[in-house]
Amino acid sequence: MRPFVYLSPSSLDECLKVLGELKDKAKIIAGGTDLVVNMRAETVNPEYVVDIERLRELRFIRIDDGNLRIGAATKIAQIEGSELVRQKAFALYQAASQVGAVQTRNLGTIAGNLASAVPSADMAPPLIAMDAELVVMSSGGQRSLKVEDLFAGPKATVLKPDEVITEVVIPGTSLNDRTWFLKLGRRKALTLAIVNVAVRLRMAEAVVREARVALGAVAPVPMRSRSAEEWLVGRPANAENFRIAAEKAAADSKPITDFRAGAEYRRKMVKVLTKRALSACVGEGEMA
Amino acid sequence: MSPVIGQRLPRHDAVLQVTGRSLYGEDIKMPGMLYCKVRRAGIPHARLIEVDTSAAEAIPGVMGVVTAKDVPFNAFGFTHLDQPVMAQDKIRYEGDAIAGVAATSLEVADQAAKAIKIKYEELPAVFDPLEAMKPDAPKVHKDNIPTHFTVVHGDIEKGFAEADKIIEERYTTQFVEHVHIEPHAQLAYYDPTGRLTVWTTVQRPFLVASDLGKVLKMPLSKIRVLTPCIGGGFGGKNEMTTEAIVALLSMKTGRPVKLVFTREEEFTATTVRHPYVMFYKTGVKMDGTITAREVKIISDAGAYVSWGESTLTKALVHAAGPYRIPNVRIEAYLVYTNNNIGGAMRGFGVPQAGYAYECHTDSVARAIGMDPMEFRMKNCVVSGDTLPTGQTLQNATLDEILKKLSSMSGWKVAGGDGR
Amino acid sequence: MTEASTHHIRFTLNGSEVSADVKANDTLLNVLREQLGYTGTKRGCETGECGACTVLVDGKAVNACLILAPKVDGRAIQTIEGLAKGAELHPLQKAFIEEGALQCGFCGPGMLMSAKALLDEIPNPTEDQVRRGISGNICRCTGYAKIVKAIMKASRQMARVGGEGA
Ligand SMILES: Cc1cc2nc3c(=O)[nH]c(=O)nc-3n(C[C@H](O)[C@H](O)[C@H](O)COP(=O)(O)OP(=O)(O)OC[C@H]3O[C@@H](n4cnc5c(N)ncnc54)[C@H](O)[C@@H]3O)c2cc1C
Ligand code: FES
Ligand code: FES
Repeated sequence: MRPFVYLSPSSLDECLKVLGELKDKAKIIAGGTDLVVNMRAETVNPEYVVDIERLRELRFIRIDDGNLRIGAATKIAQIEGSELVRQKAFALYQAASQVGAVQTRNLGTIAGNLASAVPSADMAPPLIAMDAELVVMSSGGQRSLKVEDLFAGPKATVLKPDEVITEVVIPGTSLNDRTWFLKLGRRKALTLAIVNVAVRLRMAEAVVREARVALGAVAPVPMRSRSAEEWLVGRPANAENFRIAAEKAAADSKPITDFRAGAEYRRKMVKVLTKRALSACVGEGEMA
Repeated sequence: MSPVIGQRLPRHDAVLQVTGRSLYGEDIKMPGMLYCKVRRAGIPHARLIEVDTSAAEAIPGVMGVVTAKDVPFNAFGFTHLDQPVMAQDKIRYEGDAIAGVAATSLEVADQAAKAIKIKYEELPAVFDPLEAMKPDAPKVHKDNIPTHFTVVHGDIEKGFAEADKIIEERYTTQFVEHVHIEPHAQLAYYDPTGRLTVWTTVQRPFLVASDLGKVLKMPLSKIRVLTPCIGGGFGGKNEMTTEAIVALLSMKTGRPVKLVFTREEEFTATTVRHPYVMFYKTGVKMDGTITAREVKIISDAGAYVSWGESTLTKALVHAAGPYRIPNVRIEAYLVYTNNNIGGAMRGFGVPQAGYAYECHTDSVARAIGMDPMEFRMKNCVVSGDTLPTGQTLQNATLDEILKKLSSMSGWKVAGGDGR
Repeated sequence: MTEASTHHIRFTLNGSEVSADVKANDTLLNVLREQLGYTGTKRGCETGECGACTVLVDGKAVNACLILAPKVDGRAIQTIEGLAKGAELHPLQKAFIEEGALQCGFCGPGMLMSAKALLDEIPNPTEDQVRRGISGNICRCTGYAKIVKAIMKASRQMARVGGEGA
């Protein structure tokens, strides 16, 4: 790990000011589970590292104006253990409980997971499926950004160097819908996804009124399968429609072959996981 | 009653283990100790032209740098003296050591190792042992086949002529890294009276001592190799790696020198289980009698023989499987490639062969429509049988084991074959 | 190249106040092992994958190899060296010995600290919870069965003596 200057601002304001001055010389560190690994490998070599882990104002899980708001530096373990998340955003709970292992979840944060912009990041599909937005701040002001629009490519985001994600906001409209997350890895813990899938369904009677199908690790960035979603809306939530939607999801995916899995296998697994997630979402044949 | 046999005794070092007081390789320290980093080749095959260490030596905190020029006798190996301590005129795999640096901190050592300039001319590399056996393949050493064995038993031609069916198959196994959780760690101290003490995480300290004696041209009476607690080995800590580099740096600097491998080095610069390519051909009669078996094993040695010959011999003697076969021919080749060095790993060549001959046995049984268990019962060796290598068996119990396995697993109840 | 910033940090280590001067690019693992001489915590991969470096920070199991040293200023750190109360072994340590849960022992310190964090949080875990609790710790020797058994045993023993030894 190359030398750098470590800064630990004591408030968000100070943090934004420091980042505003240092711009691309600095890297934010939260849990460090991604950044420290990259700095050790010397693939990321910042001159300054600005710590946000201790900023209390970035660590919370609460319902506000009907929306579920999660502070950016909230630990994944806290999300996993939150009754509120379990009740209101089940897929996010499922995803949180499958990140790395106990140690990784105790260190890693929700925004760190998103900002690492790894195509397999487990927090992304459930948050995309729930139409979550990010509050992004800099010394110049504040903007909101859909999680879906955060990613610019593998390990790249649209954030400017002085911008900090401060909050993840899941809109109230998603909180009463059914959601489900499934992850396929080479083993059950300490493994990045070969494919991960999150779905959200809003139902009226037995008919799907709104649908989201989000896929990870099968394209340069976490993505939605619009054709699967479009197929589902207005149709009965049954096995046949789920099967067709799953096929559409597989067709939408753009997987690559790497040491974790081949593209062809990934595409097949998109189909299997999407179908299972949709069925589990409506309470049929839960499968992990 | 015996105080030991049949009793459940705690390990004698268990208290040290659970309290964190067992001293493993990296835990050993000495005052004044320097930190070592080894510069690795990073390319699989090249002619080494020049190693320029001047930039590394100029870095403050660097106390010594060694290269092949500093090694008194630059070759070692368990059966073949084919491996240099540090690459001399040729690079044969990415993990080849090029130079060693000793510095006052690990950071400086790391920086210095990176500052070493290597001038080389890249050569076409070969990664597939079957390719490497071809006459026009890139030459890793003078001859790409350092060892070749043949076992002949009975008359293979006659055996195949008697068969109703002949089944031919090809099996391959892959590289396996041991991944002992403790990385290799070494600490060497050459004291002013000329004695060398080396703490190193190896399973064979006396082999390392004798190899050190050879490459450093030192009498064994001056060399002491000590092993701390070893954090797992599984064959991966079977031989000398960089102990001589650390020792040379201690000689050069007069200070203790310590080296700990990174996990990356564990994967790129230590031994692996040899990948095998195995061709099996078996002649069988419809009543389940095996008439002949021909086996060809090709073991990917990687860049150096290391324990390749020894593991191959083991594979060879097991290759026909524990079955009564009157006519057998086994050929085994060890082949150099520009891959990681193959070494010892649990089972020593036998798991590769075992995987192949048992899968093959199933295929043969299926080819004649016989239940694989029944086929094994019919053909398994019993006391008095002679193996292809000429050994006559005493107290063979495979038949009893198979019977027991069959009943314990409910093989028959499940309708045979189990699938 | 930038110079690393240096930081004077204070934290409690197994209940005692300690301080250290650390560099920004030091990890907690290095500070424990190299600076403070606490070599019980092991280094296996330095990338968060093996769990050999597991320590507790404010009661939570974490990888010491992934934590920048300045981050632990003001925190409470527990390592394997603090698990026993003097000569009295923790029930987990006793159970590991009795069950023969370790072979080479290198994973042991990290494994035991993960197990401690688990039992502190869930005193009577199911076998599944134990397996989840140690899923960040790789053991290459034992195959885990005896480790799981030992942790279950320790949890029963701790329940019997009313949570003592936590
Ligand atoms: C052993 C191991 C296993 C893992 N397993 C998984 C897994 O199963 N699934 C998975 O998805 N991930 C996994 N990861 C990756 C990683 O742990 C997670 O992505 C984690 O959530 C990252 O969070 P962090 O707080 O540690 O990020 P950090 O390392 O602190 O930061 C990561 C990146 O995000 C930036 N960043 C952090 N916070 C902010 C913010 N608020 N605003 C803007 N930028 C920010 C940083 O600058 C950095 O570039 C694993 C990592 C390890 C080491
Ligand atoms: S050394 Fe920290 S997890 Fe392996
Ligand atoms: S006992 Fe050796 S790694 Fe666990």
